Amino acid sequence: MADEVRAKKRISLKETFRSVVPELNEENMLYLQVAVALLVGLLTLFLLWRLLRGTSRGRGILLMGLCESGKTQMFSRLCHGVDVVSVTSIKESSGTYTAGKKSLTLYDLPGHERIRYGAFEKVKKLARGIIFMVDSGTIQKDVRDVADFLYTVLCDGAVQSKVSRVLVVCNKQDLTLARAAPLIQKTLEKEINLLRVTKASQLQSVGEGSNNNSFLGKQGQDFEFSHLGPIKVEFVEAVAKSGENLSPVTSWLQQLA
Amino acid sequence: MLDFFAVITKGGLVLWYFQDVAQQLKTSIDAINALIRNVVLQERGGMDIYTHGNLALKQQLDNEFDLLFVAVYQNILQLSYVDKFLSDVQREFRERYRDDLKEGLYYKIIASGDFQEDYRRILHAAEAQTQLVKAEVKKPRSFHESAKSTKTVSSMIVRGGDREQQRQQQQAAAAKKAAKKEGKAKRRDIECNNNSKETRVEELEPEEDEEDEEEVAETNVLVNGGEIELSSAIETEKKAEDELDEETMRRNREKLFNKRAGPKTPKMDKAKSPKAKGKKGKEATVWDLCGQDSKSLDYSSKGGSGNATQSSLRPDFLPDQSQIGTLSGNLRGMDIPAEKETQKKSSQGGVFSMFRGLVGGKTLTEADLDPVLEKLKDHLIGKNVAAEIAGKLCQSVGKKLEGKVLGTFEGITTTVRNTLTESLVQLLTPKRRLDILRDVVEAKKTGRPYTMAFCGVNGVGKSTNLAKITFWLVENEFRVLIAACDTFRAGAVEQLRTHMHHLNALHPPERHNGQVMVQLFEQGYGKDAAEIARHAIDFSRKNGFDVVLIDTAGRMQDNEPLMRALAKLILVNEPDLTLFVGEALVGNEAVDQLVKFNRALANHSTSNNPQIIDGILLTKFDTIDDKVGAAISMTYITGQPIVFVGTGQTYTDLRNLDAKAVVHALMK
Ligand SMILES: Nc1nc2c(ncn2[C@@H]2O[C@H](COP(=O)(O)OP(=O)(O)OP(=O)(O)O)[C@@H](O)[C@H]2O)c(=O)[nH]1
Ligand SMILES: Nc1nc2c(ncn2[C@@H]2O[C@H](COP(=O)(O)OP(=O)(O)OP(=O)(O)O)[C@@H](O)[C@H]2O)c(=O)[nH]1
Ligand SMILES: [Mg+2]
Ligand SMILES: [Mg+2]
Repeated sequence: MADEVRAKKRISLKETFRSVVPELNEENMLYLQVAVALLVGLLTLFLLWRLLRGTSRGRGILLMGLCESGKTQMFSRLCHGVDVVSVTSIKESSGTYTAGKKSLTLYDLPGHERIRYGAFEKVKKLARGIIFMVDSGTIQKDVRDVADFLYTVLCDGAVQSKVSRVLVVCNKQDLTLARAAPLIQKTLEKEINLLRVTKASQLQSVGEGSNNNSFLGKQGQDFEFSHLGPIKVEFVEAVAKSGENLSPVTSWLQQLA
Repeated sequence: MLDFFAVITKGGLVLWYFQDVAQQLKTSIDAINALIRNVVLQERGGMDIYTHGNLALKQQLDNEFDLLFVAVYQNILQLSYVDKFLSDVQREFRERYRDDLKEGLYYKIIASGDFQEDYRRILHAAEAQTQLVKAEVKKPRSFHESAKSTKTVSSMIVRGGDREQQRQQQQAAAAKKAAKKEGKAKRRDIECNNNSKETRVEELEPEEDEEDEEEVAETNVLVNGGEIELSSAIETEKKAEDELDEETMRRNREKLFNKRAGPKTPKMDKAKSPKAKGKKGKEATVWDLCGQDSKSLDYSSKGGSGNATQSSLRPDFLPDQSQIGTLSGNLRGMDIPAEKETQKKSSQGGVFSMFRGLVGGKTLTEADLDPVLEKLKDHLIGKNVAAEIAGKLCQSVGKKLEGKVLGTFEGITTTVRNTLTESLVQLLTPKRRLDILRDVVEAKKTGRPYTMAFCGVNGVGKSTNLAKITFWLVENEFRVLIAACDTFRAGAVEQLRTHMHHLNALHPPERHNGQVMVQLFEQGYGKDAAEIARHAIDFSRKNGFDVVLIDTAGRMQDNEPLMRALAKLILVNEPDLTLFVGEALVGNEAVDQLVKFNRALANHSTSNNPQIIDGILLTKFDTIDDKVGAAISMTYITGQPIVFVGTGQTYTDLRNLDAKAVVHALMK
């Protein structure tokens, strides 16, 4: 009985199918099945790829800046909430920052010239945002080095395609000689304006990706960070030591998460 | 008696530290930072003790867990147990925190901070051990010295008592001195004759002083950090001097006896000896020069003839007009074909690294590494890296890898190769910002010219590359004054004048608002180079030049008077950039040249932070195919970046160094 009904049902299903798509016979059916199977396979592959890419890319925040700017200090504060005694880093380290339900991966990169770009190459594909640390106490002396580094980072192809926001943290505001954030922004803008001239016509260096062949800002105008288009650059003041003033950084991270 | 002891991660965290009460934490941290920057990041890992100020530092790497153990103590204390102590602490620390270290829970270790007692225990044990050893061994100190002197001197003189030893020491010292002089004379000392005034002044100096000076300078160099190499080189040289052949020793002894014959009291002896010495030294030089001069040193005529053709400004020597405008902006990287091979490799590593955690691998030991490193060392030497440097690099890489745990899919050879490659790229990457155009703008803003001095041995391409750099600067709208401070080699000034004419022909004043872009500052031959340079800088300040390029005479590194003159030039004029010009063709000789140039600049400087070589210009890079080892040797010795690379003989053949491309050519 039940078999019969089922058979009938199947036939009727076939019948209706045939009435809708009349030229579909047994043989064609096979092709269809293969096609559907293929489609499903591709779809899963695609979803898997999206999933993997989603987790491995775009969750990273890079901590960059010159030596002694306080990256490791900031990293320990943000990821572990403690103060540490630190020395010059010679290797990158990573940790998780949790903002509510979501989390970000923070990468503390070494600031020494010899290794900073090597470490940067390794993790730049994972970057969603960059925290660029500046020592507000020594910025006047180091402005050319800071600007040079920031310029190189902003010109980098991977940064331009993946990073949407850069936070320049004017650290060590507890020092008496510390410069205020707007002032630091002005100095850096002026300096990068000059750097565009001295570096602009640099021809591409062999084997080095798409570095430095893009023009920062708007042609014919003095450089301003607001001209950078897809990359939003903000300046905040902070004190990483003993976590005295971290709120500008944490709120920025929360926005990004 | 350790002042400070720290366990550090490569990420820069101090996991645990012990601090003596007398020591400021900041001082120790600064010292460790200096250690990391000058030793660990400079591939000098094989080095033993690093000194920073009056502190001595010793380090031990733990490659399995990426840790660094550092002991800091007063330099004057010769602590013999530090090495063993470091490995003891390393063992205990690893035992105690193995699980946390494996998981990378560094902050847990920092929070616990309960290593104190273990540390105390190990320290006590180590100190007790050394006390024991000390008590056992109590031997006269001067054993080595006296043994040596019995061999060399006592066969000649037989005198007794206290005085003998004293005299022996004096003799040994004097013999050494004399031998040194002789050795110097033996070398091709062309300039001695011409600069005889200077030579005499130098030789009249009391020898005691000279010795002292050398010693002071030596410590100076050490104190100033970074250039540890120098001191070791000095030591090796001293050793070499000790091993002088019998013949010279005998002759020196005779000289000494002659001197002794007159005055009897040692004091008189001392006072007179310099004079006598000076005479002798001079005689020797004259004799030596007479023997060699006519045959091999036909210098001036050679230079003269070359010069005649050059200065005649024949039209076919005029530079190609199509070059104009090709060198504005920053310099191009070099044209070494870089393949994507390395990138591919790294991505493969990424895939396999997933398994690394699952499958435990092999721990690398010295025995595993040695054969591979030996092969790589030979490979490097084959690529023209100085043998000494190749050895040190491989040693450092070995230290970096020992104890590291290999993944199942990693071979030893590839791991070592990759580590070496990474280290080399790191070594060639400048340790400071290199943007000369920017610095010129900065100098201009403060109303002074940017000065660059070029020094190096004879014929390496100083003047030619100076002209190329002039061309590059002019293309970027800077006005350049060339100071002709090679007042020695015939035709040197004319050579520069020819370049000036050519450059001004390429960039005539009409195209630059009527300003002459290149000018030569010359005061003829035979004058004091330092003075000319000073006048040139004054002149350029008054006449609105942006850059002063100082061309100096080529000099061999062993030519004392000329090295002294160079040091004076640098000291007086304080150039913004002191470039050492070296040929890419140079092999083992690179070490000697650079060490001695650096030492001369450091020794003859009166300031205690002397300005030494702070950049390298690598010339004739087009002539060496893939034997690019000189780049490595030079950066390793000085720790300074290669600022320019000369790749040919036309004005446009100037490049930046591309670290990756060079290392690729090197590792091929
Ligand atoms: N006064 C003050 N000092 C700070 C602050 N943040 C960091 N420091 C100090 O700055 C020094 C360097 O800090 P690190 O975090 O190690 O510097 P880094 O940026 O990681 O340096 P590298 O690893 O060499 O690139 C340490 O001595 C810190 O104590 C701050 O907000 N105020
Ligand atoms: N192939 C090649 N030849 C070079 C390069 N640089 C210099 N030369 C040649 O090297 C020779 C010597 O160059 P100079 O500039 O006179 O050398 P110098 O160091 O000034 O010599 P002195 O002043 O006598 O010590 C010349 O024939 C140059 O053409 C280079 O990058 N590549
Ligand atoms: Mg750090
Ligand atoms: Mg010359």
